[in-house]
Amino acid sequence: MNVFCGVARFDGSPVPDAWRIRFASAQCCRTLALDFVESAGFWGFAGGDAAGRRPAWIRRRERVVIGTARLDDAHGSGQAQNGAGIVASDLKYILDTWSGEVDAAARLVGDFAYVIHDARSGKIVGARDAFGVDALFYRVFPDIVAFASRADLLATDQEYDRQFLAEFVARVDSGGGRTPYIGVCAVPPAHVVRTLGRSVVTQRYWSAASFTAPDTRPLPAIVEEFREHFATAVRTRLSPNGRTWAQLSGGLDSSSVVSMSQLLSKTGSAPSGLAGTITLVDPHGTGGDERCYSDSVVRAYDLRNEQISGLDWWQSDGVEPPQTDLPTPAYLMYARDRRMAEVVRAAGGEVLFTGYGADHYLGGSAVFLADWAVDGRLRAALRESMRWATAGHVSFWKFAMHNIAMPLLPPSLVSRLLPAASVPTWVHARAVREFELMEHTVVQQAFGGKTGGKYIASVVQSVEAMPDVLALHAVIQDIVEERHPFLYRPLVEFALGLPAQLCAQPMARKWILREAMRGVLPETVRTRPGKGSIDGSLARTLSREAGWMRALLERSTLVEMGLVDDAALVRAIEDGEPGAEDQRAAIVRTLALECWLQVRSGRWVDSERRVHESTITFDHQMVIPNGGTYEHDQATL
Amino acid sequence: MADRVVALAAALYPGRALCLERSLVLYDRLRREGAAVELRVGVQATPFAAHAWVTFGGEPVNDSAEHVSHFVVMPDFGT
Repeated sequence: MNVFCGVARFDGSPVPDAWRIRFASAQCCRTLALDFVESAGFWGFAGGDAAGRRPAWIRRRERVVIGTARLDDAHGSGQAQNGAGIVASDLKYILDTWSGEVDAAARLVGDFAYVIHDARSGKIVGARDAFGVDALFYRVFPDIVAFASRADLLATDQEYDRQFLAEFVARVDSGGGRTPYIGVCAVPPAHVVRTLGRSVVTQRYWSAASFTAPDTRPLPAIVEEFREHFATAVRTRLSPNGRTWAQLSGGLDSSSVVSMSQLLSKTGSAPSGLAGTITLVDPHGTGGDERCYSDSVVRAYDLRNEQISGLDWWQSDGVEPPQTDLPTPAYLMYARDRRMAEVVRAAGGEVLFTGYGADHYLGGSAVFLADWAVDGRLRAALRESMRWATAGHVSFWKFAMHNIAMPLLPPSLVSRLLPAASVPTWVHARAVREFELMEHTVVQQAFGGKTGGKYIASVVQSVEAMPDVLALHAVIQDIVEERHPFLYRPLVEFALGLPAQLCAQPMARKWILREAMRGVLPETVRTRPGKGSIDGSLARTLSREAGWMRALLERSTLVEMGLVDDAALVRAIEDGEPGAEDQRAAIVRTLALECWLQVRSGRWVDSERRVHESTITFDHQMVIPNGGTYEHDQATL
Repeated sequence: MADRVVALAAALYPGRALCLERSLVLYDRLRREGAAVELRVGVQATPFAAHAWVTFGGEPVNDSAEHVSHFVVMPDFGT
């Protein structure tokens, strides 16, 4: 785990000891080696264990920067270093080029979260990268403002924000950078936060909406430029000492990242490729087992592949559950995620590539047909709907209703027409009214935007929701540094200007990526129409773990807080209609939050051990491509 | 070609035209034309789901091989 914190007093006087003790002795810091820094009116620390990208601080006369950074620009020695070296080098660059204005953050391309204090002007500024890859939180107290990389470091024990928790269960985001802790706010991605008197102001420095002017060049030029951006994205993230690993699901995104890494290495465009890949396997064959696809990538590039099989949702690994600072819908996967990160670490890996990001700006959707309709191209929109419906084996009428008519209807009406996208039935009616949850449902977010600009609005909204996706791996990020090649800003900016049909095609989502990866990606992966689903493992979990769920809900924190109606939740779990994929995901999301709250309060550990001890097995398998031998290791916990 | 015609008709049909209806129509049409196609019905245990499709020479005609691989094929109906 890595952490940093920076505290400034509004009047410029030294930060009192009581505050220093409070932050440095927070639970998440207790086992870490911390490196302290102090200047006039400012105090902070950076620290962590050996894993991941360790934060640092740099001082230059009256200025101090503290935080973490991995910049894509080749501006110095950072590209040739790793871990703390790259952070220090990039922080030095940030400090040297800091102008004190918002533009200073806008010029940086890469992943970063930092706080700069300028003793001469009394300014303190926190900034976070465009997509929220690195975390930054702040809290304003009467005399001080504090920034930190973990929200719980700034929290007051067990003081939870009921609105955040209600919105989490309801899959709603009303904005404003809420966190689970009262008074603690997240610095939104692409924003800076700076002090103004005894308060703070937040300013945006980058917006996806600024890059949506359509690219009208010939198709081959567009495909080639996309491919160049993607190659740069991968190259700048590859660790030069060969300690980069990659997640390989067998889907289009992770397979593209792996294949491009190896191609760059093979052609000498990168000093080294991947040291290995890791694949999570759902061995029960309900769509989550994509080994035939991941194997084709592994064989094509003669790669090492570790497979983790049999660790499912909500299975214990016999170790204390991790105390992540934020809840995530995937919290119940903590044992599997921890295992994956530890396998990478044990093999010498320092960096783990993911395929995150592409779904958000390359996937597209057929909502562009609604824009065509209001643009006077109704006939073309209907013809295109027919093509999609035929290829996807769905009803033309339903397809046209969902993609042409519904986006143009008032969102409140759409919520009624699509109950699965509305607030879950187990959210307490009082909470729905109190926090106006019906005003911010998933549908309202997805179909927002002005008439004629629905597609662009949906893509921009999706890009802005990136931190929710990145947080899914909170457990992994505490063990190994994750890097996301698809979140290379020039690549995203380029892709935002692509016409909708270069992304959204029936049975061929992310069409541009498929074209750009021609000759790089094995054809079985490049042309696969779909992607494995986690629904099978969710359904299995809900039936297998009924005993554990009962134990969890017996003393539910969410019920005690008046946010969840436990009877309605149990009913929803027991109903379990076939095909109710959204419902299952919403149930698991609620249980994940409940579990996270109980882990934090210390309620949960016993019930976990009681139910799971002696029942869990997992397989860990190493596949050596082309060698014909397999090592197999089965462990029973 | 026959698959496209059936898919087009099914997409426009205002009533129920899911995998079973589509596959039965396609199967009937191809059989009448003398093609040695087979009707397959498969199930998936968790979450429960059933699916139908048509094969020719063991390959799915009106679905992707990836999708049908999620289902356990029920015994042949003796067609």
